[in-house]
Amino acid sequence: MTVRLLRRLPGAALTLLGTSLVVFLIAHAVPADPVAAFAGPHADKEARDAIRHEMHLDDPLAAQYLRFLGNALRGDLGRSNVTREPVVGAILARFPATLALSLGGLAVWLLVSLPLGVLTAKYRDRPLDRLTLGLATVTVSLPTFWLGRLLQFGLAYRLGWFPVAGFFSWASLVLPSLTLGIVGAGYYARLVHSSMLEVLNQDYVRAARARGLSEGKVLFKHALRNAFPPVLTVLGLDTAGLLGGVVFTESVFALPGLGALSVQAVLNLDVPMIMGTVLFAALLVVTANLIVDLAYQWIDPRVRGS
Amino acid sequence: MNRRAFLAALAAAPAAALAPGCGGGAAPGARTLRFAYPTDYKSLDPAQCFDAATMQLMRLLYGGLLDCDDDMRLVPWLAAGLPEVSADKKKYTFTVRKGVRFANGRELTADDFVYAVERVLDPATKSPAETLLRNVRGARAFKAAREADAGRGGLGPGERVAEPTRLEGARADGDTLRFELERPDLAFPWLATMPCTYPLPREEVERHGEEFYRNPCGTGPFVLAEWRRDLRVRFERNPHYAGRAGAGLDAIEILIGYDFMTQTMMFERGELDLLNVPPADFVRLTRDPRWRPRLRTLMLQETDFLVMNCEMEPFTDRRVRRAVCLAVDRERAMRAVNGMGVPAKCLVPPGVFGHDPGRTGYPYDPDGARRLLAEAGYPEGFAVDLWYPTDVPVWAKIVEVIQQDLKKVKIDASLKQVAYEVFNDATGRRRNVAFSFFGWTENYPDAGDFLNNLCDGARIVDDQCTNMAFYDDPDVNEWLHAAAVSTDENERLALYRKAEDRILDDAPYCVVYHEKANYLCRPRVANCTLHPLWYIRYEDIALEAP
Repeated sequence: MTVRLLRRLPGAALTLLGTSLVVFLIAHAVPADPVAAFAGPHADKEARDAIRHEMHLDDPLAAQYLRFLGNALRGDLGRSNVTREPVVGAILARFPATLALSLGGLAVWLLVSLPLGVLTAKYRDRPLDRLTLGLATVTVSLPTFWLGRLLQFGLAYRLGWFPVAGFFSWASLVLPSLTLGIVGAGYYARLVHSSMLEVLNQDYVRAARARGLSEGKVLFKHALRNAFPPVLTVLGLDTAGLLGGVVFTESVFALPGLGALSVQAVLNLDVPMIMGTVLFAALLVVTANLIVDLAYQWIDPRVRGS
Repeated sequence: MNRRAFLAALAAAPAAALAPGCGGGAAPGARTLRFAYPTDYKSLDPAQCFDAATMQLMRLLYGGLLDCDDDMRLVPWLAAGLPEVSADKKKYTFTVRKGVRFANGRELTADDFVYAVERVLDPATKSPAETLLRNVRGARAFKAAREADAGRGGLGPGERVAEPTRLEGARADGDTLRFELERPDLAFPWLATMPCTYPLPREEVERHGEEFYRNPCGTGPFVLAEWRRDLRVRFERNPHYAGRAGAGLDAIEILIGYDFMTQTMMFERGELDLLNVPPADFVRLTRDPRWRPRLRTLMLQETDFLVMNCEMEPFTDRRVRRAVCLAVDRERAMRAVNGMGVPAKCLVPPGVFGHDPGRTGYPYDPDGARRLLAEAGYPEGFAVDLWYPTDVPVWAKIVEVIQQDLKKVKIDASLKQVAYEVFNDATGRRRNVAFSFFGWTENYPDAGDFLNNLCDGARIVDDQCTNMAFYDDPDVNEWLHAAAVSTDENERLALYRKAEDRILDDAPYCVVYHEKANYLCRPRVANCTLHPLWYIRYEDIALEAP
């Protein structure tokens, strides 16, 4: 496993380097003045040029990128051009909210999609299957900002069961997690369903039933474990995506996460913060890929053997 | 990791994640004023403050030499009285009040004001307010010396080597503070109300260095108790504050990152004490008998307008610009945003020195507009991009109404919405954007702040130009320059009005409206009065204990 991990590391580093370069070039290609958000509308050219000079934004692009890279290697992603907040500190401060929301969403995905996927595969073409898959199609098509508003309006504003927004207690996470979970659960139910259909026709499932194992054990212990690897691949990448920031859900429920940070960074053309948040998201995706690879070995002995 | 440990870790992760956010609902003080704001504040350093929302917070933490009362008159604040002004209007002498203490317990001195002004002028501070203080004698030489110090390197915090090490035009002597200006400026005392001149304790600034923006230390009634980025800001009473402000509150808590729709729901559910009423909910809330009596309306000292670049076709022709002014139905635009503003007749808004209440403005006259366009050689109209920034949601609605009005006179305006930074860069560059929508809010309530910034041809530069219409009229330039240095109030008023007459006639800007802000407060909130410059003075609010 260690060898496999070491083999993948140079590729991962190269991916991060490429990402940083592309993001840096795109951020500087935008025809906008990065000093504008910091200086406001009343600062004149002389004041802005002085600020630009102090921030080293008038250095050649290559020098700016190399300085960024050198500092990044030492774990310093610089300071925000707008708030002067250290980028690494800003990301770490926002990560807990995103992590809590992602885990909540993930829990809803799995708790809903696994039983539904398994049962609809078992009762294929029956009314339960059709109804569930129909509902799954509907939920997959729901935009999160609309569903979030709907839940917020109905369950928080009208009924007062949950806080309207904010990040204060466990109750604050229920509606955002449901918003993420409902949309994702439909997709995962369909994924588990398709994967299970393939597995249920396999000989070892027939053999398990012939051995007199209970249907629950056959489905959830033998069939689901073999149907899970394709789901795990998608789940790993989706989780990394969630951890990189869930923009709409965080916005609707005023969660102080990475999504909100990234949006503000882009709106303010805050290049160091954009670089930091994108690199962090890229790091999560690369790490998730590595973890999925390693998890394959744990789940499927054939991969370990190869 | 075994399964049990894995599950325990999984359960613990969100708990750890929630820890920083917990406790938002449980305020230690019984009288905690709670409201929300859509985006986080950029800095609590007075030298970096330029937006209205942060200025409101500055008053909680700091104080200035002068303040502005409800009738927009200057009144002493940390000064013992109004300044003595020399006959040539270049020297302003203040006496600093005794017995005022910073939040760290140290007594305020006149030198703390000098230090604050010098700090704004030091390029290392990167202060957007530096523009405003450039008229203080010796400002440029002081700036150049600090640049030389920065180039030399190896200096300790606050260490100055290059001469001049002090700002020539700002001197402290005991409790006396003297400012001397390069040119006379009757609007200078207004700068004494602004955050860029609020006194700072040098020892705290140097102790915190780059982190001073989140470790404020002033003479105001509150101190910063907590600032969790994108989550909340909390202020508590300053134990060293001896004044009367803030007596009705134990704490102020601002929740960050809540959009207006969410804020409205939270306000109605009793989770917030104050609400800046969004246009979408204005009609519903003001018709609700629970809230109608609690509505407070404020005219902002701001003018929002269409900008026509006088150096770009077809707006080089004055008739075209006047046609646009006649084509816009300002009343309809205001109805479209539920009356969140009043139609504008001039650039200098009501309440600002130099405003002329007798102006009638351009009428809505599409036939007249068509006639002027035909005379200018555009009988079939023309097509043009109309740029506007994303950061003011209500503008999206207003430019749509304007687009429809212009269509009626055969001007085909394509709406081009861009981020503020892109807008600012594009419209400030010469011969780049012909037509745009923007607004100007006062730095201080004086016509010069509007007319000199927006219409002075001498200020035209190739990029980052504040004269976005690139309007250049030699007479107007002369009048504006004369008004800026005039030592006679009546003469200034006459010069500014004469200049504005010509500007409105030439129409580089098609003024559309002056914005109104509407606030609602819950019944337990008392003494919530609105102020043209400071909007809500939170420190005056008294809250009933629950």
